[in-house]
Amino acid sequence: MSGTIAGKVAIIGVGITKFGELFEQSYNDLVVEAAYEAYEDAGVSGEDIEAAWLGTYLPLGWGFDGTGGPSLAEALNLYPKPVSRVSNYCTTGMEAVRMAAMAVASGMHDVVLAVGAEKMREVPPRGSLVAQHVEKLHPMYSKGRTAPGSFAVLARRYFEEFGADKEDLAEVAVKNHYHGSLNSRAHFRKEITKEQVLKAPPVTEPLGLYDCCPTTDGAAAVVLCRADLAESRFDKKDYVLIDGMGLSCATGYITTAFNPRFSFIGFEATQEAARQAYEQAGVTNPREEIDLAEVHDCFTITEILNYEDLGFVKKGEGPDFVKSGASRLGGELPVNTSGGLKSCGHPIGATGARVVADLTHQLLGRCGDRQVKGAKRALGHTLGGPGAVSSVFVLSKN
Amino acid sequence: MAGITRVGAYIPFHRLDGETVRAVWGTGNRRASRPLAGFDEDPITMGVEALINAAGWGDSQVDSLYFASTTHPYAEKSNASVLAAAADLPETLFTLDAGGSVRAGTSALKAACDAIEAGSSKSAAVVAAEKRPALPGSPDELSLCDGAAAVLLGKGEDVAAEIEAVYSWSEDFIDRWRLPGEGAVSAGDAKFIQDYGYVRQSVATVEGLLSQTGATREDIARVLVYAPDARTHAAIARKLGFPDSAYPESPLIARLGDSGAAAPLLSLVDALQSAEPGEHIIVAGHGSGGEAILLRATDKVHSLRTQRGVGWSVERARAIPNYGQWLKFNGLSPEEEIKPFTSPSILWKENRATMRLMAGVCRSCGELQYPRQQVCNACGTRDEWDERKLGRRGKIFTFIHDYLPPSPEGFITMATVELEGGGRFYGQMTSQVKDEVHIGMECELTFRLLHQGDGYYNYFWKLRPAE
Repeated sequence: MSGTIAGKVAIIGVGITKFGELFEQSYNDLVVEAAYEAYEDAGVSGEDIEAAWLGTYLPLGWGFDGTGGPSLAEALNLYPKPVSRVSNYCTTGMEAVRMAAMAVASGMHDVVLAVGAEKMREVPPRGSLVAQHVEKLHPMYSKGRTAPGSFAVLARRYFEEFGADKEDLAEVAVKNHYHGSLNSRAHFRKEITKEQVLKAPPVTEPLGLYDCCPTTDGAAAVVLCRADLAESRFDKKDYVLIDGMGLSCATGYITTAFNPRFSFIGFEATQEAARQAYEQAGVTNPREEIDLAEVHDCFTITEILNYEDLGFVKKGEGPDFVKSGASRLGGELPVNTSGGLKSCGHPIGATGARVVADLTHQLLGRCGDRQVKGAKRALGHTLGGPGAVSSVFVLSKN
Repeated sequence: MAGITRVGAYIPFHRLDGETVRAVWGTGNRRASRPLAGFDEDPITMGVEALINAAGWGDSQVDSLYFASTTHPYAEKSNASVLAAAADLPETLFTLDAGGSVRAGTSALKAACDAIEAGSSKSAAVVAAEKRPALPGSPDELSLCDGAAAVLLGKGEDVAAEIEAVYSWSEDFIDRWRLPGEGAVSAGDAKFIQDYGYVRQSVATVEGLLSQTGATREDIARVLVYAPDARTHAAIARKLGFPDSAYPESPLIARLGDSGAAAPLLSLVDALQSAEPGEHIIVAGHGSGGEAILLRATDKVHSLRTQRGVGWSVERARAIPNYGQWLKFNGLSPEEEIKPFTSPSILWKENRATMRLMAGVCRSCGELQYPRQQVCNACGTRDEWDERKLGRRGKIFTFIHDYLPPSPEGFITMATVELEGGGRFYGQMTSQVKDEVHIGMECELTFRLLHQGDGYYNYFWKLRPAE
């Protein structure tokens, strides 16, 4: 049987570092900054934390920190508590939060910490993700694949099947850069025009430079506790509850594009993770019942596919959804009001935790110019590998 | 009597044109258009192309393989064994790398013929392939030719050209040579090596065959001799004294260039594909003596015409756009060095999948999976697989052009293809024209050098347009 997380776990504090090319800060500096901001927000100290999960995707890909639980224990002096590291492609940060929430829901711990962190810019951008694909992985299969290449093949197929084009993708970039311009912690804070997007140099045709998220440093932290303790022990009037959380692995990592059942017009992983989360949260009509969403816009095409896979619109209707302004701040279902991965950047292990933290800020009404007014229920989504794994959270204000 | 049953050839599609060379050096034969191995091609990959063109896609019964080249990619380690795996030849196979002389192609043909006659081999494959070394700015860069040829030998009713006689002789002679590690071929006194080497020796080789067999010049329909250039070919032809009609109207040496050990077999394959039953053909290899082989086309010889030969390759030729590509193809311009992860134990244990393209068909649910897991990814049944080789052809389902990975062409085209017979293959495209790639495009799998991680050659399959 499948249980539900609904009503069991509260988020009582979050922290997010500035995202960007943070040459002056170390991995540990980022972890400490995010964690202590979350401690302060929660009104706890390190001593209250009973156990912790660290999400870092590929520590040895571009540095040395984050290889295991001790990386986090050392940075925060959590000795000798249970601390573990998780890694699940681009869902890694969300997976740290999910593990922490499960530990609370199981009754094993009352107060826990989840931190997502990635320090990618100790090496040049090419030396991080590109080199990972070119130099690592299987000696033969999928050799020549890159991160944008993994998603551009879907763009090409989607264009073929639904008649969409690069102008549709540009709408996503323009929207998310606008949102990012309102977020002081985003990597990119400049608005861009559709013309700029369309004239940008190609990265992986049909994707151009502005269709891609940047390589970024950052960390985010989330303090979670038993739902009934949020008010009784920590004196919180306003906090956030996890209504549902799902995770799905729907294809292999190296073999995705060999898989005859992979549609190249959407992600089964997202559809299944959303199904799990919606079922726990009691969501039956996401477009009506979700007030805002942070979704995985690693590349512009991904956000369009996400609208469809998450059930906001039907397959093929994603381009119209963004063009109508529905997903823009002020629209009926604002998506990526943080600026998304496109503007915030995508420190891989940090992103999922950053999504949960950002949605927490929104649900608690702390987002100033980019606040979604009256937001009660929010959806967070990450997608990892070439769409092999996805994580979906449904959160609500208590 | 032993004879040739199948043929195949492969000339790389890239051409280095005389005008491209003149734009850089100011000199060079304007009319030259020299076939050039791509950056992902070498004698092994070109040999595989020729061998598959001869032997087909899987299910081959070849039991001995002779691989001739003066430019074997591996100086130590079997080269033929790579061909055998990629062409999916049986594992109960005798293999031999033959090298050391541009005569190696005809020498290997003689050895294979002897094995068939002796009964130690029922079906032999002889492959000759070269990636000829030439320095930029040297005359060789326009006169040499890369390429490969393959012939299958056997006995019985499948024989399309009987091998009636072979004459072989040896004489220590220095004409052209190359020491280990040298990037170009050296040559002795031009006048001396032409008159006393190519012309005198080739005449001795062919006349030796005639006197051994009692054949006369009038009995021979076609005479194919090796020469390093068209001028020398004409000089040999004059001295040999056959009627003009016995020589190719436009010999490959004049059309394509000097393909070394591959040259005699390429000429033979080309000749057999236009030969009529009953024709006698002499093909001669040269080098410190020589071999001359007398063949007679049987009434099966027309069956060779449908196989992919020189004509098939030449139709697909296109010039490289600039001289820089020639430098890049030969590793002569600075490139971002990448050494991808690889491991001899991985290459060994995954050999049937990566080299022979063996997929699994689940006995429980019928799913064709490549690369296959132990547990079926469709129905969850463990270890109930029938092995099935992937089809070679398919249609592009989706593709991209990626500018991020290092590549001598500046981008890599990646495509997922739905294969005939089921399954998908996802990989790099090669020999493609970027703007012509489209969804639905017919492609076929082609064996290529993928990278040199860990210091050795890592070969794998790529996708090539096949429309």
